[in-house]
Amino acid sequence: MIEIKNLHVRTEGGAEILKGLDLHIPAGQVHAIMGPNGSGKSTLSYVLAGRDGYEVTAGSVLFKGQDLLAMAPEERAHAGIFLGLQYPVEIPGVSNAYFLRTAVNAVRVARGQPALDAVAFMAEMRRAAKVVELSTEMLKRDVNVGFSGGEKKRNEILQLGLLDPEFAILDETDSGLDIDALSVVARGINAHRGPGRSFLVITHYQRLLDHVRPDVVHVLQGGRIVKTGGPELALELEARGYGWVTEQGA
Amino acid sequence: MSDQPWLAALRARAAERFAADGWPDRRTEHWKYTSVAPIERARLAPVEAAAQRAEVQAVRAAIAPEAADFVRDFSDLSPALQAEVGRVAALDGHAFAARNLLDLHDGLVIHVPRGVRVAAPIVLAWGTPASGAARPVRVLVLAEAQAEVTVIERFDGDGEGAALTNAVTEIIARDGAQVRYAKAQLERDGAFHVGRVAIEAGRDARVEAHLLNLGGALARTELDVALVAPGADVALKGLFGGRGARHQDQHVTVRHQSPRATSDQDFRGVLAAGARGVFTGLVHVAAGAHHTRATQQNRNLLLDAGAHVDTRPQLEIHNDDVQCSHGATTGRLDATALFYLRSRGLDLATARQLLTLAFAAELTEALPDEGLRALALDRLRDAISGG
Repeated sequence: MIEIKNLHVRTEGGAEILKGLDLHIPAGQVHAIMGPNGSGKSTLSYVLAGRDGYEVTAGSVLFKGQDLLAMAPEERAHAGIFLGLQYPVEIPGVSNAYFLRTAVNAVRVARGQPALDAVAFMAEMRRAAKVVELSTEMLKRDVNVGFSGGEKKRNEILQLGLLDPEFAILDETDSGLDIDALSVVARGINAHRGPGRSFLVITHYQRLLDHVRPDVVHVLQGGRIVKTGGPELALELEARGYGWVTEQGA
Repeated sequence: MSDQPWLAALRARAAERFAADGWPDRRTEHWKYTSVAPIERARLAPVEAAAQRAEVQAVRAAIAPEAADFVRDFSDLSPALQAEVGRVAALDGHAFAARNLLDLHDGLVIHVPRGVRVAAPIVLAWGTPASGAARPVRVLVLAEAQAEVTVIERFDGDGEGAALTNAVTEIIARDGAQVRYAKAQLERDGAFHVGRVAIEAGRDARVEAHLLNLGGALARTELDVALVAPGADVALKGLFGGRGARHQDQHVTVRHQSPRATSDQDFRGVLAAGARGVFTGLVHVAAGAHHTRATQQNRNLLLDAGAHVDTRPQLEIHNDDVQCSHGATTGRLDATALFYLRSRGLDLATARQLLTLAFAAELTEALPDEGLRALALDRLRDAISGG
């Protein structure tokens, strides 16, 4: 599904953040990336989604055999990439329902599917909203404006459900959530797991992985994957801290 | 047909005033950011009396029948109404208002009697002047006590060449009256538009005035508001800008002359390459105007590097017992929001359009007429897409 090789990235005119990252995620698998603050987790998610401000100085990213780095952010979305943001953006003046419909139809048309009319879209949106327990009231409000932290993250998973990506990156989707909100979000993620869809779950803490069981866990430190293991690696990190990985590697 | 004696007298006064003042130049404080030299250079000829009268009748004929009874031309005014024309839009320091009267032979008066509610909006579609013409347009809206009316003035149409519309609108809302007013300045690219909207709000009167300053090569509208009795409430909402060689100036003066009155200003500029916007606003609170509540906001969105805006919000307060706030911001489209939308599959142009329309949404959604909203959105889309 996605093949990252020797990826080197620096901020525009700034320091190198990713220093030769390798990562392979096969179709249908959930991979978790854990790492301390400043290890490059968010940079990786932004570079995969195509945000400006980063410069790839070496390496490659292939998504279903295509050169992902050559594509504009919207082309990546059309091709099946989804990024759930750590801090979803508030957009005053745009209703959530209008935003979602515009996005869904942009993606559908790019994929050669017919655009949904208002009625068909409403049905689709209601179905997807139910999965993350978002009320229709939240759909009428402006995008993320006045949403609680949990509502914003549920809105991200709602978008994941509607945009039907093949590869979803979830950047610290668990941050700032209480345990109830976390379990709703986790149920939403689990509902969207399937053989045709891969996930990269980026998290600082192990607790999300209690709810969303990963197939593979990676530790990102100093801009590289320094350790890879099964779900038990997350537990070990939680118990022993990131320092343990460094000591072990040394 | 010759002019009414009362109008001839007004014109004579205006002629004196204009002879004394002449055209404003940028040494005048109020005209610091806008030069009228291009209008003077164009050497435009005033529209003749017969043509003015014909235009006024054409505009009147297009008014919805259920509202037409409330609209008169200048040949049909009682002495009381005659006395109101030119009273609120004073001439002192307003050369264009003087010029408007000096060239004027006919206009429209909308008079809504006490307690009457006019349900249908009264739409005055002024179109666009012929090439080479300087056209005065004059409207008085008088809502008697407890009356309610919505008036929309549109200045748009196809055509070519330089021309000037010089429009003066006076709005008087007597005690408890409610007036909704919108002016859509959507003149063609080569046209000039100078306008003045003078509002007088009485006791517990409510006036909501919308300005769409989105057309023309050089356009300035002055909004002068006087809150003359307790409890008056005036809201001004203005949207200006565009793309290409445009200069859009909004000059606002709000005078709180009486206690417990409220005024709110929300002006937003959307400026693309080549366009220049100006907002100057003054809120003046008189010594006796206790419990005044006034807000003044100007927010500007610059879509490209070649856009420019000058903004100058001012408060002048002569008593301590007030709640006033003002501010101005100028910025670009939010890069994070653009990325967010693109990551959801919207192409860059669509994402820019969505965010720009969202910036203006509170103003476009508040417009009193569906057709007007569609026109405003079309103009904004043109500005964004690079037309």
